Amino acid sequence: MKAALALGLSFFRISLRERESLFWFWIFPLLLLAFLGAVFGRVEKGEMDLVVALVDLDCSPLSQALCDVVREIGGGGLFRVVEVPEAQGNPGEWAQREVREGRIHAALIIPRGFSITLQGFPLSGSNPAPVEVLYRRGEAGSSTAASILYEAAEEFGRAFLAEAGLLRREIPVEKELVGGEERPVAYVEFVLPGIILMALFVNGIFNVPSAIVLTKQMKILRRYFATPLSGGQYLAGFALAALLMSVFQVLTIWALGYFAFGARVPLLRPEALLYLLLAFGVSLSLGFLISALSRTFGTAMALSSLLNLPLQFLGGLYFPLAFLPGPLRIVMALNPLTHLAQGLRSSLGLETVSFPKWIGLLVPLLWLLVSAVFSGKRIRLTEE
Amino acid sequence: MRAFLAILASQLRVFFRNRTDLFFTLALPLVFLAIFGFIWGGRERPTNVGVVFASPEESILAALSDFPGLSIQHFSDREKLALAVARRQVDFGLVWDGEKFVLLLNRGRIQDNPEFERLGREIVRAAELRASGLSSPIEPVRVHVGKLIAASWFHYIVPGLMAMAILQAGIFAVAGRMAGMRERGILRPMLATPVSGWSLFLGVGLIRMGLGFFSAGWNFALARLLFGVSFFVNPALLLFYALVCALGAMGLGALVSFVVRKPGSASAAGMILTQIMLFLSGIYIPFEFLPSILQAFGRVLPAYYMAQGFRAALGVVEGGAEILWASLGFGLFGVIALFLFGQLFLRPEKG
Repeated sequence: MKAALALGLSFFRISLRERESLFWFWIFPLLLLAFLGAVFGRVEKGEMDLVVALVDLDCSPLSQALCDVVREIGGGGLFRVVEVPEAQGNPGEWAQREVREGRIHAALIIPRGFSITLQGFPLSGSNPAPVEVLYRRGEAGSSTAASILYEAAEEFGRAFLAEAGLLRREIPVEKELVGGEERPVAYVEFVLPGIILMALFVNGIFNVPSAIVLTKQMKILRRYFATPLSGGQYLAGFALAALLMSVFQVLTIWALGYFAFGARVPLLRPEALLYLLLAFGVSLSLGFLISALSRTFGTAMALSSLLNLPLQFLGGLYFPLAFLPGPLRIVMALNPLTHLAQGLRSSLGLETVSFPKWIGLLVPLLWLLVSAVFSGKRIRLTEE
Repeated sequence: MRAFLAILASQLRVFFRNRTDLFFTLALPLVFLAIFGFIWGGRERPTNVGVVFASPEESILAALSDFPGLSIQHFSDREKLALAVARRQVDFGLVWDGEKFVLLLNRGRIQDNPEFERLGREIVRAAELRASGLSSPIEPVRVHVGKLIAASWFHYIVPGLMAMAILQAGIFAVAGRMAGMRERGILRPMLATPVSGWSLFLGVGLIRMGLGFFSAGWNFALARLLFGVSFFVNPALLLFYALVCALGAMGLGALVSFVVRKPGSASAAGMILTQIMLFLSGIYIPFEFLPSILQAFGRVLPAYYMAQGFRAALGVVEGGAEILWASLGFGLFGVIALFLFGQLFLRPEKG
């Protein structure tokens, strides 16, 4: 026990002293949370550096009213409206060039005759008044700006009909959020459990092979076993260090979320603790499995890298996954991180699991058991 | 020349023996493109809307038919629909009780909800107009004015990934391979032979950059094969950006080697630099979504200009003078940094 404890503490110290592991295991998860929290927290509040242009070729009270509606929406910080420079001979061409060359995200073009067409529409039942929304398809910022302008124009048309007394029926709309607990969820609260799982997972699949395959390859383990230390004690010491590291990682990530972003994530709930423990066990056993399957450290790192990103992204750690094509859906269902992420978030009241609860526990448990049994049989701590 | 060819052959063997390198060159682009392509590129699929009609009305049902892009699924009651929304079996729900609409959104789908809410409101507007026997008095038309007619999400990300493949290869050619050889004490004995430092460097650099170009081309081919994405390539411009990107990236690798001299740390520092550039260059996360301080920082980093340059060369965006000059500057920086690296490290007494 004493030996395992001493080893555990030494592994822990090494993880803090080695710059590479210090960055990847300690600093990177915090940086990622800070980055995603800062970026998407801002997007969530509707603060984006979008730039839109209004080209009013009609210059009528109605077209100006539409422009005012757009300006009012932009006043909330969603976008900035730029005016057409006075020297422009053809404002439409100017807007097209600006959008095309990426200086402006989208432009609303109100053509001449807009007001006449709009005023005549209810009486004659003629064609609707056209407006154009210029944008660049495929580009996220431009598409977002275009959607906002599109909706502003449609809403203006509806308001016009309502004011003219032509809209016989106005239908109220209520919004209701479902899944999880009855409280608003910020993106940072959604992503925080994902970052915690990522940190535990990376710790397991990269750290275990370093401690077993690399040290064996460098003939360091042989020296350890020249002492009275047994293989079991070595592994127990390592597992203890991993547990200690994981506890500190979870605490620091939680603290950053809480103090920097005001994330309220009640990790001390028994169900949440169960999922965290399960995640720790699965990550550690996967690390042992990789070590058992690899003869060299290079192979181990290739295997770890092969698992790392696909399982993280197909586990929905950072973004909720909705509809994936057939084969990826199977990977998603078999991925232990999918169930750990959903289970942990559900226990924190952030979402409702998409699989039955028993499947959510069974899949990670099966991974844990199969990896533990397989690596228990195959793993060799000394060279053959 | 024979010595140079021998170095080339040995470096190629080293690459094929290193499974991690092989993985990062061949499998990683596939993994990235397939996963991100299916997760985010798949947003162009129809939106699944669950509906509950407590009192079916002709005008309300007809309003839904105005949206052929929607996939409608009917539910018998509100609870079942709420569960389906919560379990992501449908994207969002609409409940019509004869008086009002209730829009059901999944609390966890934070990024998708604004779009679903917009769509929900559009459906309600259409229902109001139908109920009043009217159609929309304004017809907004989206007009795509981008350079590429068939632009999609892939057209923006693939050139960025290609630029990153070359940047990464260039940084690691110097900060990883050359610095690694120096740290392990291999460089000095090699420099003591008649092989010149520059032919050794060129041998290592050519192989690593060849792999970077291969990885970039592999990204391009995979996008075409898996997702049918095609580009209008300007070969001369593509070659220009690939070359300045390679030169500049090797220069960055040299800079990392100057700054981080501790054994084993140069490669790690190179990896950190690559990750920072990946996040702040507008490749994965749109630039306008970043806070202004990160945008300012991102604009100093070469990855932003390289990604834009590759987009211009592949006909996705207009290439401005700013991108051209910044790229030229990056290439020039690379030449100077590599020259200094050669002077400092490619000598037997320094190796």
